Amino acid sequence: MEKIKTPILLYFANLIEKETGIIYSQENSYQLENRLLEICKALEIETLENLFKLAQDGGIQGMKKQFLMDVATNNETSFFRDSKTFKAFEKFMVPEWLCKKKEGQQLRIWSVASSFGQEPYSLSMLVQEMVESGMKLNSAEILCTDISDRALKRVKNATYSHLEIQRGLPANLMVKYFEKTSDDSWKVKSEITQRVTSQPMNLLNIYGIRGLYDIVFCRNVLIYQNEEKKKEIIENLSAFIPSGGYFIMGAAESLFGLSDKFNQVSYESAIFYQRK
Amino acid sequence: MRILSIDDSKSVHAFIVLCLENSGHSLQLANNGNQALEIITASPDNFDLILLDWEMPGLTGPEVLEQLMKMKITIPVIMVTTKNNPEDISRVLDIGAREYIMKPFTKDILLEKIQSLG
Repeated sequence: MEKIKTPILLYFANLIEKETGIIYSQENSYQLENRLLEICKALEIETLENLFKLAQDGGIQGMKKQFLMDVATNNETSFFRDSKTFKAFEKFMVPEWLCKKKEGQQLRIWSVASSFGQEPYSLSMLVQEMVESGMKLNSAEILCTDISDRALKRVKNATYSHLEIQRGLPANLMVKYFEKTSDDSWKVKSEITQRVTSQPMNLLNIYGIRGLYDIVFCRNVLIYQNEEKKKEIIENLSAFIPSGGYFIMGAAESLFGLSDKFNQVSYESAIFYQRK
Repeated sequence: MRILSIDDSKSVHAFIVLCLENSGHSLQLANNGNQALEIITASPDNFDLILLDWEMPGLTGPEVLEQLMKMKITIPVIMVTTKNNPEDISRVLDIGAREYIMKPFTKDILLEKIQSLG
């Protein structure tokens, strides 16, 4: 990997590596430059040189620094990502589960690769909204797992930057379920975090999971695996889904050819899978 | 969508123009609240969405919003402002703003918020 040649870009690359561990090299320095130029425009700073001067003078702190890190590292995670899936969860999967549930049964949801927590907290907010609308979901539980300790720490902190909080989250839910912290970040309120638990998990070696999960979100996880590994992971996960339970993949993913244990279901334009 | 952006800052408008380039949306600009109200009342059917700054010379964003509500103009409004206190956000949502963008923001945030009201 070749070191960045342009001094200004190298300065920011070093800063980003120190803060996030993400490395920019000469090969992708153009991406860094484009992202820094976007930061300049958003922060109303005329040139990259001025941004560099400001950073050297200590003028990039707090929210501006977080903004720089978020944009420079292209943090794409958002709340309610692929909104039609959440609509299907709210309007189809949960109501159907409510019709079939046994007396006293708890709704159990598993967010398989929860990343920084936007998915499980989006689900918890929706559950809360459903509870407030009169649905009897008082004892819902959301488990989130991830292979990355860093990601799970973020889930536990439940705190999001100025930029992260604006991705996918409607303003009314933001003010209802988050509180602003002294450093311009936003922390999820306890009424939403209290039904979410987290634990580390390697999908190729699942252990420590107790009981079955009625709805399993496994979105954009398997895209990084070859076909053999995909089949193995789905086989592992299917052992934790009861008959009639749901398995949800990313918008561009499909179970086709990977498992015969599920039927495909669609609600409006969302597609998901039901355990046979 | 046909969007009216109301902001006294030229650099904010320049950024919004850049964000909406090739997005399929059309954009008209107003530099203050009074000018915006004139444009809207003259032809309220010309707009699908309003982007509204808070602090401007003359009428403030919330005052413009209140005027729109009084006139029963139902074009969805997204506040676009540096104010980031939950109380301020709740206040304008209560008045009738549909969404809220805190500055500084990115192109993705602006486009997503616009799309969410589409």
